[in-house]
Amino acid sequence: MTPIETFSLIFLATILLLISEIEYKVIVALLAAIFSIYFGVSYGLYGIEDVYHMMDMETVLFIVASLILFESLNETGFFKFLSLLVFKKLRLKGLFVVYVLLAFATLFSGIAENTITMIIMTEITLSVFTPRRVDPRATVALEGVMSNVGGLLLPISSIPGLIVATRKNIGAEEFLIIGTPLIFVLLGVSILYYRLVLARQELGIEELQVVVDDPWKTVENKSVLARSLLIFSLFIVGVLVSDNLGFTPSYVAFFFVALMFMFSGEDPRRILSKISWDVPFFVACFSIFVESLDRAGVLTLVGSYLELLISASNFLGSFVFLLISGIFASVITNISVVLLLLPIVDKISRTGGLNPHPLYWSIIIGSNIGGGLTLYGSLPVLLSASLAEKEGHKIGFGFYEKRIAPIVFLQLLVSGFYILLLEILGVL
Amino acid sequence: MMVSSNFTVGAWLFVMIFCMAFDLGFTVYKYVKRRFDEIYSAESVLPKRIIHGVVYLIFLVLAYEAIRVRAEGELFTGLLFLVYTAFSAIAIFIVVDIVISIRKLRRKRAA
Repeated sequence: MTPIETFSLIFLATILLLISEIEYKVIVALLAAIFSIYFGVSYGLYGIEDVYHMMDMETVLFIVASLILFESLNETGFFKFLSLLVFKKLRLKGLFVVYVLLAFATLFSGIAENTITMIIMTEITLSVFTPRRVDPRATVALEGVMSNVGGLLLPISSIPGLIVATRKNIGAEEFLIIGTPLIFVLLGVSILYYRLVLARQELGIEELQVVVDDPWKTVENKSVLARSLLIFSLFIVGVLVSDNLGFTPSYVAFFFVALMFMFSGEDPRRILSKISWDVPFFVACFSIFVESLDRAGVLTLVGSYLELLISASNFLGSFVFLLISGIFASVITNISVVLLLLPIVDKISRTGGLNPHPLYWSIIIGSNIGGGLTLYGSLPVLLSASLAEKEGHKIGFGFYEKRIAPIVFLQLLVSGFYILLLEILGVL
Repeated sequence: MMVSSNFTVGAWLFVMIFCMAFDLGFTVYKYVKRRFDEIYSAESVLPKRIIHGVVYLIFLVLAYEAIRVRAEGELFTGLLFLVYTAFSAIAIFIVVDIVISIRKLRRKRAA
């Protein structure tokens, strides 16, 4: 067998395992990495000493540091406190409660990990809906979708964004300029969809009301919250200006991890035990696999087919690529989509003489949002569904595809037109 | 007479290796089948059983290639033959398992 045939088989087995979810995703990534290294070294594609560089340690370290800082802030009770405080001050009723919940899901996922956001938001939503006997399923599922949208706020907001940002040197300012307006547009579209489509099917939604006693009850220690919030805010500023300081984002992030552990008053062992270690592990193993595919020529082969498609679609290339990323992300984990498509974009842009920048953004947006096309494609959506099910509100595949998937498809279309508009205006 | 004797010994060796490899392959398949039956007892997970079977077939091809790529020269020809026979035996049973699962799935959809 030739290297390209062998690596195509590894690629096929990995994709099948990821789609069918037969094995845990980290095991799949580990298997892919082990096979790739064995054949890569045996075929002489690279030496064993090159494997360390293929892991993309800068991205992996930045992911670890970001997860530690997100978890530290979450442990203080900040997110729950903030949402209850807003509900208390605004005294919201009816559909406005839902709109604010959707806005919070979007905002919080911009500054916290998606899973943390969804645990908090589902808990709040169920506590608001259940006493009034209003069906919370559509709202909870849509919050999962909106937490994917919030991942476009900053490079640290989502792992796909973070990978593209660190590898392609896309700064936080660019995320704020391109991502923030899109988030507002998509939030507006989703609220409109909720009002016109979903709200009509929800009985008693007009009677919703939030009764908040004292938001401070959710905070264990005010001093810890204040210190953690200050260090987290400085971390975001630090990442924004890391380029100007001459340091890498991972160095800046670990500087603030040290500060957080020393001065926030939180127990580092507790924080470290709560980190989702599977994420950095998956990224490291999958990076080795993708780099091996590249060296074996598999990505060039896949890229040549995608190049044909993009060339045929002419100026709609970034739009088509966004849809492709979205559809891929609905069947395999979005981190895999980014790691696989990123080198393909580089190849396409090099051979076709295209500007890769709009395509990078197509990957970021498509892989973030597209996961919501299916109930099992996005972790926040799946998590919200399982949390709701625990409380007796089952969100089935049929329910999700009929009521929530159309808005995700609409979001992808709107995002595609948004990228095209930015291209026409010369922003990208 | 000598040629005939050599041929008999060769044929005997071939049959022995083949039987050993086949037996080894069947034993491994029995383990795989037990695992499949435990995980995919319900009919609703038949597509997953099929995908899992296909993945195992790919793993067999990769495992053979992993040995082949490292084992070069005359000395390893016998070993490769043994491995090839054992893997083929496992593969045949997995293919049969996949075909049965596909037939069950089609019958279920038709019903």
